[in-house]
Amino acid sequence: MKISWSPRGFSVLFCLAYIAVYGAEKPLFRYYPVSREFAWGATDSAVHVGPGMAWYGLMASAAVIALFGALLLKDDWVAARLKSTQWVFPYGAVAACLYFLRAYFVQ
Amino acid sequence: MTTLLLMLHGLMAVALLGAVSHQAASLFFRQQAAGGAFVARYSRIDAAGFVWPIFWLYLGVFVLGGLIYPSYRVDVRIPFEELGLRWAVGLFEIKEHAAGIGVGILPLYVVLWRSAGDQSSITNRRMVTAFLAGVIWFDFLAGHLLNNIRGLA
Repeated sequence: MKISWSPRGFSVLFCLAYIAVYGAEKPLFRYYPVSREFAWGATDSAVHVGPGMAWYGLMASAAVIALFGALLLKDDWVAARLKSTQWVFPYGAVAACLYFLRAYFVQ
Repeated sequence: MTTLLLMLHGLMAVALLGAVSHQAASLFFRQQAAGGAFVARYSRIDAAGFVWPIFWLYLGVFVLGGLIYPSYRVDVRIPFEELGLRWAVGLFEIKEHAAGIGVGILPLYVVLWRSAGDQSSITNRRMVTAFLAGVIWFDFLAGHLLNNIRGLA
């Protein structure tokens, strides 16, 4: 059985999902490099050694959402709806990240 | 081990930078540049033939970057924070998120180039390729700058 998916749908949903999970701080998991531990979600009650890393979990959250969506969408349907605006999504996602990160650059 | 991975990450990034720059130049300057001028010769390539090398190089650079990221988090970011170099931490954050979004749009990038004869996707193809080129250039320069401030041990 051939699994059909929408590459366009995946990329568009990935950009939207990435911003959503980043803005809402919803990583699928965290990684603690000092103790080499993984923990589910954004927080838990356990005490961990050293700093936690959420980025792998953010990527995983966005990828899971995008993959589910891409399996449901037809690529031709996405192409017909978005026409020549498919490029807007990655630019918008980076712009949103810059907005979230502005505190690093302003006093 | 981290040093070896960092060097591989950097070397693959150089190859990726070259490939995506050629492809972007071909998209934007091929029509305007004529004759034997450097820009004309630089952009006179089969741009569609660069798609899969760019795809695999991007994934390779991304995976290697992901492997050395924990060393950055412990050995580099903490000293940056202690030195009050918030802009440097922020620069890395931009690099990280841009690279992640770049991975997410690789399927769109490939599908846009697979339909390279389709005139209706020219704007999308140009803008997505320019986005990838911009991310790759930014990440390369930001990584180089941050490594100059404090390299991985």
